[in-house]
Amino acid sequence: MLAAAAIPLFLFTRTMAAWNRESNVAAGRSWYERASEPLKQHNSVTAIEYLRKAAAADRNNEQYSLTLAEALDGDGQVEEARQILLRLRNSQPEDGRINLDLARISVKDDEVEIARKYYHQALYGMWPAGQVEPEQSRIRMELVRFLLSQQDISNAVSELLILAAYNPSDTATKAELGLLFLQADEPNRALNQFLDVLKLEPTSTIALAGAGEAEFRSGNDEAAKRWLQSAAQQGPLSAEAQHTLDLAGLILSGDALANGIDARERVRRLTQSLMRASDRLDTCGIQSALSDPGAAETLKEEIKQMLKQVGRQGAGADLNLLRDGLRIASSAELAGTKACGPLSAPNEAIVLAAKRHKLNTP
Amino acid sequence: MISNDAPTGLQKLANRENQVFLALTIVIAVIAGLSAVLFTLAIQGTQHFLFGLSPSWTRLLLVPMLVSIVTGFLLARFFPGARGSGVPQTKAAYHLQEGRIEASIPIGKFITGALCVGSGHSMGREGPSVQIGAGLASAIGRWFKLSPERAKSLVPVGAAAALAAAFNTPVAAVLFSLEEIIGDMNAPLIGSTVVASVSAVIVERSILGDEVLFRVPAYHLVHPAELIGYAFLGIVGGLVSVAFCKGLLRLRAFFLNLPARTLIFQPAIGGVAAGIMLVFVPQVMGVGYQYVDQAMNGGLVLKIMLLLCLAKLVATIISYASGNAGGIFAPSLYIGAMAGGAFGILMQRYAPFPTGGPGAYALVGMGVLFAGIIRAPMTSVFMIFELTQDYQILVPLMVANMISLLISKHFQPKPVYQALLEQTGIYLPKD
Repeated sequence: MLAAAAIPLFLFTRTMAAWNRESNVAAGRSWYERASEPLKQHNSVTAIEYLRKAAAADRNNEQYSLTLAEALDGDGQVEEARQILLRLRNSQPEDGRINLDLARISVKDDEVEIARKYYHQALYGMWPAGQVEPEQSRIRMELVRFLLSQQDISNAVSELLILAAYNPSDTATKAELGLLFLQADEPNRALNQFLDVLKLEPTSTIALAGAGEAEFRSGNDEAAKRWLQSAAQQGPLSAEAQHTLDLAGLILSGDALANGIDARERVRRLTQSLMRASDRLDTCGIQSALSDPGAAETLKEEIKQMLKQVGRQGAGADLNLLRDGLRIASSAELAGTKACGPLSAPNEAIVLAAKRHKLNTP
Repeated sequence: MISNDAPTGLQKLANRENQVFLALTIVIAVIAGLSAVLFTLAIQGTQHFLFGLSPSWTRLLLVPMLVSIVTGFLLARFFPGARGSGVPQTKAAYHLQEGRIEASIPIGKFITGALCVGSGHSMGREGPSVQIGAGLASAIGRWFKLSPERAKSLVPVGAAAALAAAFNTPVAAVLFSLEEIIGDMNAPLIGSTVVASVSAVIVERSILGDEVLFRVPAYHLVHPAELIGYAFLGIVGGLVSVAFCKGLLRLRAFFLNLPARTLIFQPAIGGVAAGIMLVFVPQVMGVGYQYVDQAMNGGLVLKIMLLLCLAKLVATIISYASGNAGGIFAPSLYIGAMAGGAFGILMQRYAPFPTGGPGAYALVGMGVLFAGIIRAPMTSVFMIFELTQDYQILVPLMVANMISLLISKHFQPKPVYQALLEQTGIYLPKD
C-alpha cells in the first residue's frame, strides 16, 4: 500500500520538476535575450551578468555557457572562460566552436602546443551544415597567422598550401593568402595569388602593391617598380609599399653590376656607392661603437684603396673589381647599422644591390 | 524427522521481519528522496514566485521580513519542532526519543523551510531535508507498528536517503548518517543506509537527470609544496569555523533569552536583517550554490569572495539564530568556497612556488569549513571526493580538514549541533 502511495508521489514530483525545468528554461531564455543588447554595445559587464543568470537558470543549454565563455574571454576573464569551455568540451569534444575558443585562449596564454592542438581540432571539428568550408578556411587562416607569429614557417606554409589548394573564389581571401605567403617568405607563391586577384580585379591596390612587394623580394626590381607605380596610380601607397618603391628605384639607378649599362656608368655608380658608405662611416662616429675600433679604419682604408683602383683606366670593364667594390661598400654600410641605427633608403639600396648579386657580406 | 537446518518459528518471524524491514527501507528511501526533491523544487518555486527574475530593492528588503512574520507565526503556533536545521532535532529524536518524530514535523519543516529559504534567508536545504526524511521514516515505522528498535533504526535510513537526494552524493549521505545522526561509524545500520542512499539517488536522478550540483574544475596538485598551502587553508578554515560557531551560538543564546512572548516575532527580526543584507549583497540569498560554482571556476575576484565570505557568515548567523527554518550545511560550504577561493588567489599571487587555480582551493575550502563547523570529517572528505571524482584531491583535503577540525575543536570543544541542542535544554548521551 505504501509502495502504491509512492507512485502518485513520484508522478507528482516529476510533474513539478518538469514545470520547474520549463520555468528555468523560460528564465534562461529571458536573460539570454536581455544579454544580446549589451553584447552588441560591447557592454561586457552587463552582458556577463545576464549571461551568468541565463546559464545558471538553464544549465543544460550549452549555447548560453558558450556565449558566456566568449564574453568572459573578451572581458579578459580568461580562467573562468577556460573552465567553462573545458567543461563544455567534455560533453562535446568534437565541437568546432568550443575548440576554436579554447585555441584562442591558449594563444593568449602563450601555450603554443596546446593552441595548435585545439586549432586542429577546431579545423576538423563539427560545424553547422553549410558553414564547414568557410569556417575551416577562416580557422586555417587564423592558425597560419598564429604559426607565423611563432616563427613556425614550415607549418605555416603547409597550411597556406592547403588553403591555396582550395582555390578560394573571392579576391579578398586570395589577397590575404598572398600577404600571408609574403610573411612566410614565399614571394613566388604570393605573386601567384596576387596575379589571380588582378585577373579578376585589375585595379586592386592591395594586389598591385602585393605583386610589387613579391617581385621585389624575388629580386625583380624592374617588375616591382612597375607594379608599385601602378598601385600608386590607383591610390596612395602604404608607407611600406612606398619604401619598397623607393628602394626598387634606387637599386635600379645605383646598382654598379646591373645589366645593360656601360663601363663608365658602372664606375660612376660604384664610386657613388663607395663615397656614400665612406660618408656614413665618417658622420656617425662609428669608430667608438665598433667592438674593434681598428675595423672602421680598415674599412675606410679599403674604400680609399678601392676608389683609387676604380679611378684607373678600364676599371669599368673589370667585373671582379666591381664586385669587390660593391661588397666593400655593403660591408661598410652594415658595419654602421649597430652604431648609427637603421639604414636610409639609398644606403639600404647599396646593401640590397650587393645581396642581389650574392656578394657575401658579414 | 525435522532437519536441524530448518528454521524455527521464531527464526521465520525474524527472517520475515528482516524482509519487511528491507522492503520498507527501500520504500522509505524512495519517499524520503522524493520529499527532498520536492523540497528543493518548492524552495526554487517560492524564490521564483517571491522575487521574480530581477527583484527591485524594495522587494529584496521587504520579502524576507513579511514572509518571516508568517513563518514566525507557523513555527510558534503549529510547528515549534521545525525551527533551525533539523539535524540536531533528528539526533535528539534518535538518541533520546527512540526515533520518534511527530508526523507534523516533516510537514511543518517542508512548509516553513521552503518559505524561509525561498524568501531569501541565508540558509541551507540539506538539514531540513534530513529532518523531513527522518520524520517521514519515523511516522511510517510507527504506522507499520514496527518494534521500537526497528522504528528507531528507520530514522538514519530516512535521513541518509533525503540527504543523498538533496546533495546527490550517496556515499557522503551514508557517512553523514553514521557519523552525525547515529554517531557510530561501525553501526550495524550501515547496510540499510547504503540501500536507502542508493535508492534515493536513483529516484532523484530519474527525476532531475544526471545533472551535477557543482561544475567542478579538473584538480591537480601543481607542486608538492602546495600541501603547505593547504595546511594553511586548514588553519584559516578552522578559525573561520570557530568564528561562525561562536557567533551563531552567542546570537542564538541572545534570542533564546528574550521573553517568550517575542518568540513569534523573532524570525521577523532575522527577516529585517536578511532584507537589509540582500539589498546590498543579493548573492547571499538562499542556498546560493550558483556562487559556489562561480568561485570554484575562477569567476569571482578576491574582494568579492572576501565580501561574500563575511556577508554569508553574518547573514546565516542572523537567519538561523532568529529561529527561522533552514540549515547550515549549505552555508558552511558557501563560506568555505569563498574563504578557500580568496586564499587560493593570495597563494597564486604570493606563494614562492607554482600553485593551482583558486578553484582548487575553493573546493578544498568547502570541505574544510564543513569539517570545522559540522564536525563530520569523513563525510566532508567523501563529499568532496564524490563531487570531484578525483583521488588526487584526497591528500590535500585530508591535511586541511584535519587541521581545521583540530583548531575548531580546540577553540569550540562542543560540536555546533550539540551546543545548539544544549541551549534548548536537550543533552545527548555521552556515548
